[in-house]
Amino acid sequence: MSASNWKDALQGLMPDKLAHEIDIFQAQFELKRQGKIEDKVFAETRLRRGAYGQRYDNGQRHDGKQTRPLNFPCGDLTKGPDTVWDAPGMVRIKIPYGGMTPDRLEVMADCAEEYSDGILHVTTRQDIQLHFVHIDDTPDMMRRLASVNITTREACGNSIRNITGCPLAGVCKTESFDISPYAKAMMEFLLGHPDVQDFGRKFKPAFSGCDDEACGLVWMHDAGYVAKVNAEGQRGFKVVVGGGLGAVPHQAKVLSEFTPAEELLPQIQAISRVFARLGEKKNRNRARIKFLVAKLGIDEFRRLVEEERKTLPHDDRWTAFLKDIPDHFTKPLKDAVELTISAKDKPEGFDEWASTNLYKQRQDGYYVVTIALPLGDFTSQQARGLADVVRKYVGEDVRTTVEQNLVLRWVSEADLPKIYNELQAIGLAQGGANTILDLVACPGTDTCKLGIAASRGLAGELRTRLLGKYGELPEPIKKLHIKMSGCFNSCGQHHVADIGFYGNSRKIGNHTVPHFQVVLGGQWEHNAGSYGLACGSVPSKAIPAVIDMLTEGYLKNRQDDERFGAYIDRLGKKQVRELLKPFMEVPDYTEDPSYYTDWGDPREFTIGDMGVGECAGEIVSVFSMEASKAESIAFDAQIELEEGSFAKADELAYKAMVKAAQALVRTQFQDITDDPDDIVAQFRSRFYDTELFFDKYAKGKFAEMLFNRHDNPPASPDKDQAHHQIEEAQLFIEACYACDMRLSASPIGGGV
Amino acid sequence: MQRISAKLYVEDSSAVTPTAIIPVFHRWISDGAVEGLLIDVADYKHVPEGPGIMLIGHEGDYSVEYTDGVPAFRYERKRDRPSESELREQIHQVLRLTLIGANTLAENPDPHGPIGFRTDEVVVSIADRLRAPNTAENFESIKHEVEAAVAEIYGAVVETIERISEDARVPLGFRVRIDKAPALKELVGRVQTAAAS
Repeated sequence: MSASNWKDALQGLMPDKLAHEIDIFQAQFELKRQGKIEDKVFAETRLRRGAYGQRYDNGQRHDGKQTRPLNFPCGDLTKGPDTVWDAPGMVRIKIPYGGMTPDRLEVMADCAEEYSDGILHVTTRQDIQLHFVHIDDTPDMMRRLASVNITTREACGNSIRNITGCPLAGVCKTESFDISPYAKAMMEFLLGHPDVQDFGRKFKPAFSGCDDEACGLVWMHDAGYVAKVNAEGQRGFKVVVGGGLGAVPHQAKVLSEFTPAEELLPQIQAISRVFARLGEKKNRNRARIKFLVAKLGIDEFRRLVEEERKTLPHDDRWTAFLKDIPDHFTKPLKDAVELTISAKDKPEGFDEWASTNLYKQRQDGYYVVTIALPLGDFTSQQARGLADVVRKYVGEDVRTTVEQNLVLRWVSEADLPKIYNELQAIGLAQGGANTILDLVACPGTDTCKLGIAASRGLAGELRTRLLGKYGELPEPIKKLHIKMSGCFNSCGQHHVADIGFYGNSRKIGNHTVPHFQVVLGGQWEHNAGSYGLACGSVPSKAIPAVIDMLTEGYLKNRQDDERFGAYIDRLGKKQVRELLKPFMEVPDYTEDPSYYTDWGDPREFTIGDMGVGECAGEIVSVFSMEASKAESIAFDAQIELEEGSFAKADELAYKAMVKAAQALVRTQFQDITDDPDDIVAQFRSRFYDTELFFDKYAKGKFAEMLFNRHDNPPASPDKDQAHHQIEEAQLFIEACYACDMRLSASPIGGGV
Repeated sequence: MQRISAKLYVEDSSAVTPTAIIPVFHRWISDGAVEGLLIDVADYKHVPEGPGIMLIGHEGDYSVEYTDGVPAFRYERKRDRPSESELREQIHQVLRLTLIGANTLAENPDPHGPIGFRTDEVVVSIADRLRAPNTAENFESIKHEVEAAVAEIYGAVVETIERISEDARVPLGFRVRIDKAPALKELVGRVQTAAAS
């Protein structure tokens, strides 16, 4: 007799532990319906199961004219604070080190088709996300995923997130060894481990096979591992901790130059315990491990980890996985056969595709094929077609990448034209992988509750424009990386792009205009070796012209083989700012209303969907003038940083924050003095204590940055500290703009 | 069933510009132009042979999609309605909303010009691998329900009904060809009259 539900149908196919956890999760739905679970508790529960909220899940949507209710049939039932039960959400599926099999791909395709919108989205951390999923469908979806041993557990929430890894692991020419089995072992060890359940915030580890390439991006992770072999031939890892992008990017610090493989798991356990014990818990905005490492200093953090390690009770799993590591974690399905096809017999477009989408493995006769996914998306139908291609040509292994693509490894050279043809037939043979066409974007305002501007809309527009002229682009331009985020939270990894953008907004008269902050000079290579700095905010609709200006200037003025980042460094931020200035102008609404909408969205732009509605308000000109001075001071701080005057840079960044605070205070208190103590005190009492400054998601986070710097000026700031201070100043100024916008739109704003 | 969908192909592919559909769907949300709670517009025009432009709803999604390489108007119902216990009634309702949605788009005063839809071919799909996996047996047993629902709305003879794919991984699909199919406007008139009575 056939089963009438997935729980029965998949009995015995799911790992017992996962099946049991999903049953408990589903049982909690009923308790929530009965009002026996608090909203906050249920929200954290579903987050730890990988079920996220999505834009408009507060039951409201701005249609460009007004905020309208979305009258879901569930009534008052919620799945978290201010989160309507029936509102569609996102489910994130963890893909450790990006490794998938055809079977798993097919099950995810089924889930996308039956519970989502038929699209599988690859994230910048190698996960797969499905959007527009109803919470009621999540237990069955999780069961189906569990039946092929995939989990959404701890894909969200304050725990160990997906463990990412270089997608070329095992076939790369520059790696020390294949990191895949180590990343897998760490994932299995930490999943649900008691020592990772009490973090104040999420924790993201990453593995890389070498120092020089970008694939693992270890320097921007909470914990990063670079494969090393010591003089005795022993395998181990260089370990770095405390990196992260987010609103304030930090480069990780070296915890250990060489941690033997035997110590990999106990060491992360010790790190987890120290983080859980000493990491911030109350203020989630300073709760990532990067803040703990910065506060303690890496030497003290290292000492604490080493002390903690000594106290850990022995666990056989620390080393058990080592004896199971095969010589080759993945193997070819087919023999390496040379490609002997004549030029005239090659499929049309093959050579161009091959020039960007192939990587010659270190094993002779084999290639890695990159499947370039536009904006990280592919369909269920394509996923099934791809599963067939994987089985036919490479066996079991297909991987996601942090550039939102897929790779097939161990492709025999002779099969390349055939594989190209078969990918072409399912719409997956797009060229331009790892080039300027390979744009990276977070979901932004498409689906994210925190999105300010349309990062995917912008990426789609840029892609269309670049596709039209790709053939004529000179090589140095083709090599550039462009990445964008819908807000300052950096999910699009804009800090490590040659040209990065993050969304913000500006009030012009009675209208709000979508903008993107231009971030230049980030380094993708060397595992995200350095971060770019914000150079100025430009209206969203001017971004394509900014890219043309920057790339044309680079082409014309670069010296020899100068890379883009070096070119920007040589120009200096001051000159870059001058170059951007003409693009910062916003035409009057009557002259060009298109500036007042975002890419791919015809509604008049609003930030109301972030939670607070807007109506037409008067511009507070005194605020705008003073806030723009604050921006200038922050810019001067960048110049000082660039010239190596770290103390000056730090001081100017602080002054910029004080100036912005003063601008905001003046909207309520005309006679505010220039004394920083007075300004900060007034700001605190008028905007922080009253929570007027708080936005729905960041709360008082950016105000605390001002208070912290005001109360604790650094004695002798180094480059990192000055850099952080500038980033914080920029964020604080943005928050002041946002606060002014909210208050000027509110009947109680501006004059209290 | 988990999901049931129906779609109609456009008469002239060149008449459809995905970018032009985006503001139309946004307007539908503001105006409540079609049935159901409408939530947001999802833009997938960058995905080859993908879902195109989607109007995400609570009960179901509307889209102008390209999964067969040519544009089609599709409605997919996502949630069961307690009042529709019979499969034939469920299919009937999905067809009704597809026709009304396509007609609303066809009558849209868009500067890009009118979009016409062929009514002589309808594709019905059931994405429910638990209750209706794509097997020959299921095709045979469900095709009568599809045939009956189409004949009821069209008042015309179903000429052929084919199983779209024998690949068990693909949702169970029915390609229905109708002899002497009435025009879209007439079909919409019929379903509206039937609903009113």
